[in-house]
Amino acid sequence: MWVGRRKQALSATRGMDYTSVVPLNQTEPAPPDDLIDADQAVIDRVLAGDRNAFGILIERYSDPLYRHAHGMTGSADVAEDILQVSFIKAFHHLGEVRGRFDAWVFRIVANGCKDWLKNIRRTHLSYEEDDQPSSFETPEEELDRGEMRRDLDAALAVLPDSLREAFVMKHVEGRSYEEMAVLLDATVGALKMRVHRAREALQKLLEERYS
Amino acid sequence: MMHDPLDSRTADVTPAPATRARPEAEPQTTDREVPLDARELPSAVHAWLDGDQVPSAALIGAEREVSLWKRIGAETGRRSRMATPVHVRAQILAKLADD
Repeated sequence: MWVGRRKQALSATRGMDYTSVVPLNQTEPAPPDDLIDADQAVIDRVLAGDRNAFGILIERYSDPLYRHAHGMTGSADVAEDILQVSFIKAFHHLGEVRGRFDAWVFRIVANGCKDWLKNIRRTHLSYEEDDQPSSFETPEEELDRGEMRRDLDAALAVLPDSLREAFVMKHVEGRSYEEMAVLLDATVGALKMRVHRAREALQKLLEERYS
Repeated sequence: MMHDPLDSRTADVTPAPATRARPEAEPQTTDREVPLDARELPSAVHAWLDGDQVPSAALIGAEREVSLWKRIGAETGRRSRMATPVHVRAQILAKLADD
């Protein structure tokens, strides 16, 4: 809502039409310092013997990590397995966390995805039906949504892992390039290049059907 | 006898190729070198997709691309709202309790 008002204000003051070009995605801000401190407090509790406190970290970070694993593997079942293994591994190595917990656990999940991708023979990959509620109102929209989902999945599966990873982080997880740079230990410029290349490959793969 | 280039017993009787590219001249295989069938997108489209403020005039001529990316955006937006299934969190905690 605020963004819309800001665009209208910009249009009025500069005489240009911004209102019809809504940015495709909004980025999520990096965790604030107090959340990082809060994570460390939870880690201290777990290390002191309060195992249940680990559930706070799972609750706090599982959704973006699940989306990452789902986006990278294309499978809800595989994403669940990777998430389970990753959090259990994180629990057992919690004493090794230096710096941000969210970045540390992200790397565990991202490596889990890469290992899976290395091992799987990707001759066929189909995304399973998910149980997300549909926001489409008509059967035609529902059908169209299903087609786009399958086609996007197939197109993403063609991309090299590093391009798919960058695209998913940018457009599904909604991360800023700066946040991606921290998590992937890469430069903003390199990540922009990867996202751009991913988009251009997807454009080529999907434009005939959808343009 | 068939010559097996991977069999060391026949290696000494096999002449080396007359010319061979220097190893350092060979391209390294990385993601950057993976040939991708791609179509260049206008920089204004990339800027728009990056969430930058882009005036409508900058996207004139790129209507097809914008239309496609709005549809892709609807799908990626749906995925960005996906949540971890409730049973996954419970399973993780149960496994930790069993350890």
